[in-house]
Amino acid sequence: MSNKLRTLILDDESIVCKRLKPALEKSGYEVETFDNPTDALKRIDQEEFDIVVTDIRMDEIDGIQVLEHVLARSSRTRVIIITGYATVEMAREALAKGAFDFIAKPFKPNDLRAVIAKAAKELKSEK
Amino acid sequence: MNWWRKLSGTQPKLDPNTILRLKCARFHHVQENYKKFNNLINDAIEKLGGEYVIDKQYLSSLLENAFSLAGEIVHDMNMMSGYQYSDLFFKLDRMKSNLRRILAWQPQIKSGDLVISLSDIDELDHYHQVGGIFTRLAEIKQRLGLLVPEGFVISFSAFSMFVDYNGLEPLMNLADARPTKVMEELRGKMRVATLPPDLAGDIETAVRRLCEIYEPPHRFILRGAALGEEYNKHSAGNLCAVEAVGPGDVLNAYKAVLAAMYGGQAVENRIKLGLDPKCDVAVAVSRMINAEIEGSIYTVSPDTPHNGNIRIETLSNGAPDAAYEASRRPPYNVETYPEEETSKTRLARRDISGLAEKAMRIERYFKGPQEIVWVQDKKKDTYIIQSKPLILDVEHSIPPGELAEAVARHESLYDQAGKVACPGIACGSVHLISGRQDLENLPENGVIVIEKFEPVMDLMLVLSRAAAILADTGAPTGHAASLAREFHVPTIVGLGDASRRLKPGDTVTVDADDNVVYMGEVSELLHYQLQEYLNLENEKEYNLLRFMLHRISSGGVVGAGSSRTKLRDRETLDNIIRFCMDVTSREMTHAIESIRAGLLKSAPHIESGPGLKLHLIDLGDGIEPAGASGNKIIEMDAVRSPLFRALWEGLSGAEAANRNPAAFGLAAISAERLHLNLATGARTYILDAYQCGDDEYNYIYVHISDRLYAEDRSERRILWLKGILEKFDFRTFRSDDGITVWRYVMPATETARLLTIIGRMLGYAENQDMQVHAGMPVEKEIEVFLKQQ
Repeated sequence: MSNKLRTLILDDESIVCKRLKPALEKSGYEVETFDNPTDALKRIDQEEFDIVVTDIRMDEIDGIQVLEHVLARSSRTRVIIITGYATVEMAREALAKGAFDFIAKPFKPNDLRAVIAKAAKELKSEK
Repeated sequence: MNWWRKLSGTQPKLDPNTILRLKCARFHHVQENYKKFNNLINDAIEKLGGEYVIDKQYLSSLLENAFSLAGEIVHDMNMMSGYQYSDLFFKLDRMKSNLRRILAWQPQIKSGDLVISLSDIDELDHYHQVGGIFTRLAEIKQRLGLLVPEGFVISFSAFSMFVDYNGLEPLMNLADARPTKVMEELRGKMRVATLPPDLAGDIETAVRRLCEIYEPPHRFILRGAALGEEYNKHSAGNLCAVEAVGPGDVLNAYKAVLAAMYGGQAVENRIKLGLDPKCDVAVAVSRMINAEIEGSIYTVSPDTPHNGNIRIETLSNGAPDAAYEASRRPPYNVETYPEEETSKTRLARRDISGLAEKAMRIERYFKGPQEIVWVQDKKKDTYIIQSKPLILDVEHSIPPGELAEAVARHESLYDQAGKVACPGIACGSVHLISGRQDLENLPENGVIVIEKFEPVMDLMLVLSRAAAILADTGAPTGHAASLAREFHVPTIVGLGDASRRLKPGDTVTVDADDNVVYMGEVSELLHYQLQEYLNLENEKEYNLLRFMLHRISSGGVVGAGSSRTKLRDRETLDNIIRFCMDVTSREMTHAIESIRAGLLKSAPHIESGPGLKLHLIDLGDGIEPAGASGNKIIEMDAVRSPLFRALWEGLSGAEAANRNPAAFGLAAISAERLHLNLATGARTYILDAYQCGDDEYNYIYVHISDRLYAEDRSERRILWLKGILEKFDFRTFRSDDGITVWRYVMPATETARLLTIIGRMLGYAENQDMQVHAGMPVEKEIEVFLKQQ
C-alpha cells in the first residue's frame, strides 16, 4: 500500500471535484472524488481515508452526516468541511462535532492544500 | 402617506438647503453602492483568472448581489429625478431573467438576430444564440486567423419562432429517443412546416449575400447543433447535416435538419450527454468547399500518443489514403513521410508542416488535443471545417500519485510569486518584449516575457502565436489580462523580475493552473496535461462566470487583428449604472441651479483673486458656526471641512492666477463630505468626495462636461484631464458630453492629497495662460503638469 495520504473529496457540484483532483494530485496526494454522498459513504465504508474533504450543503445527505459517518468509521480520519457564505453556522456545528477545519467558498486550491498540509502534519505526529 | 401629500399638493415645502442636503445624501448613497458594485465585479474578474474554485452557488450569489446593488442605484436615481427613468427597472428585470436562464444553461429569452453571419459571431455575445459548436468555428476564424468556409447560423431564436409559428411545442415536450408515433408526427410536421415570413426572408437574404461573395456553383452544407453539445467530447460531430444544397433549397434543407435533430439517434445522443431531449436547434449554413484534398488532423497521434507527434491523414473518396506525422513543436518537422508514390492525395513536406502549425494553434487555443477536419481547394487554401476535443484512451505515462515527485525534480523559478490572469499549462521559449518590433518577431509558440503588461493593440495581433505570458507587473483585473483570457493564453502577472531574470531563448514551462514557472521543459506535466487535463475554459461554471461578467461589466475586445477590432459598446449592467451616475450628477446640478438665486443672497462665499468665487453651504460641521450663514466673504480659517481645504489649496494656487472667471461655483460641505459644482465658460465640474476614518468608505468622483466637447481643443483638454487622473489610478469613463472619473477605497491622507492635485488641475485647466497647443502631444502636456506637482 502506498504511503501517500489518501484523500477523498465529496462535493455535489462536480466542478469542485474536477478542479481539486489534479491540484491535489500534483501535490502528491492520492485522490478519489465523488459528487454523490451515497457513493462516497459506501467507499468510506470500504476503505479508511486519511483525509475527507466534504461540502456541507448537499441535497440527500449533508456534510454533518458525512462527518459523523466518517468519524464513526475511523476517528483518525481528518474531515475538512467546505462551506458557502450561508452555511458558516453549520461549519461551526461541524467543528464542534469533530471536523478538523473548514474552508469557505470560493477558495483557491492552494488554500485547501494548506489546510490539508496541517492535517497531514497532525496525522504524522500521531504515528 | 407621501403619495397622498403629493396628490393633494399638501407636501410640506422644504427649504433649499434641506433639499440639497437630502439630494447630497442620496447621491452619496449612489456612490456607496457603485463602489460596492465595482468591488464585487473586480472580485469576480479576479476569480476569472482561474485560481479559484468557483461553483454555481457562487455564481448565483454574484448575480443576486450585482442586481440588488444595481436596483438600489436605479431607485436612488429615480428618486432624485422624479421617476423619469422607471423603465430601467424593467430593463434590469429582463437582464436578470436572461442571466438566470444562462445560469440554468438555457437559451436566452427570445430576442436578437434570427440569422448571424459567421464573421459576426462573438463567443460571449452569441453563445446562447447559436451554441458552442458554431462559436468554436467562429473563434477559429476570428481569433486564430485561420480560414473557415463563409456562412451564417440560423439562431435558437429563429428555431423558437419556427416552433411557435407552427404550434410544435406540445409535440416537442414529448421528445423521446424511442421510435414513437409522436416523434414520427413531429418530424413529419417539421419537414412540411411553413417558415415564418420574417425568418424565411432573413435566410434568403443571407443566402443571396453568400452567393454574391463567391463564385458559382453555389452549394451549401447545413448542420444542426443544440446548446451545450460541445461540452461532451463525444458529441461535436456532424449529428445532422444536409450536403450539396442549392440556393433555392436552403429553406427546405433547414427544415430537414431540424427534423433530423429530432430523430431517434440525435435525441438518444442528447439524453446520453445529459442534455434535455427537447432542445432548441441552431443551424449553420456554410459554403461547400470544392475540395482538392481533404482529411483529418489528430494533434496527438491516437495510436502512438507517447511519441509526441501530430498525425495528419488524407482521404480519397471518404476512405483513408495517406498518413503523415509531424513534430508538435516548431518548426513542425515531418517525422513520418511514406516514400511510396501510391497515394492519390500526396502532401508535400512543407504542406504537412503548415497543417501542423495550424493544428497546434487550435490545440493551444482550446487547451487540449484536437481532432480537426480540413479541406484544401485548388488554390491550396486550407479551410478548417471542424475541430473537436480528441479523447486519448491511453495508459498514464506517469501515475498521478508520482507526478508530484517528478515535478519536484525540476527547478521552479517562481512559485506562487505572481497572480494568475489566465489558467493553463504551456511550454515554450522565452521571447522578451520591450517594443513593437519584438512583438512582431514573436515566434510561433513563444513565451512572451514583458515588464509592463499593458493593453497595446499590437498585442492582440500576436496572441494567437503565444504559448504563455509572464509579466513583471499587472493585475488579473487589468485590460491586458482580459485580452489574454480572450485568447486563452496562460498568463501570470506581477512576477516582479521575470523580464530581468529570464533570457531570450530560455525554455520555460508555465503552470498557470498552479501559479508556478519552471526552468526547462517539465515533460511529466505536459504529458499529464494531455491525458488528464481539466481545461477550465471548457467548464460550464468558468464560462458561466465569463458570460455573466460580459453582461454585467463593460469592456473587452473583439476581432483580433482585423478591421472589426473595437471596444465593445453594448447594454450592460455597468453601463446602466454609469447612466444613473450621470443622471444623478445632472440632478445635483439642477438642484443647485434651482436654488441658485437664493444661495447667492444667503450663502457665504470664499474668494481667491478676481476669478474664483465659491459659495459655501454647510451640510453639518463644514464651517465654523459664526461663518455659516449670510452673504459674506469668509476666510479659510472658518472652514472646517478637510476635503474642501485640500481642494481649495490646489484650486487657489498661484498658477491659476489668470484663470477663466467662474460663472458660478458652489460647494456643499460637511466634516466628511464635499460636493462641488463649478461652472466655468464651456465646462461644468461636478465633484463629490467623502472621507472618514475607514479607508473602505473614502472616495472621489468627478464628472467634467464640456459644451464644446466635439471641438478639437476641448477634446484635447478632456484627454489631458483623463490622462492625468489615470496616472493617479482613477478609473475613467468617456460619456457623451465629457468624462467621468472615480476612485474608491483609500486612506484619508490620500483623499486629501488627490483633492489638492485635482484642485490644481482644475485651476491649471481654467488658467487662460494654459493653452492646449494643437501641435503639442497631449502626453507632453500631461508631463509638464505632473512635473510641477
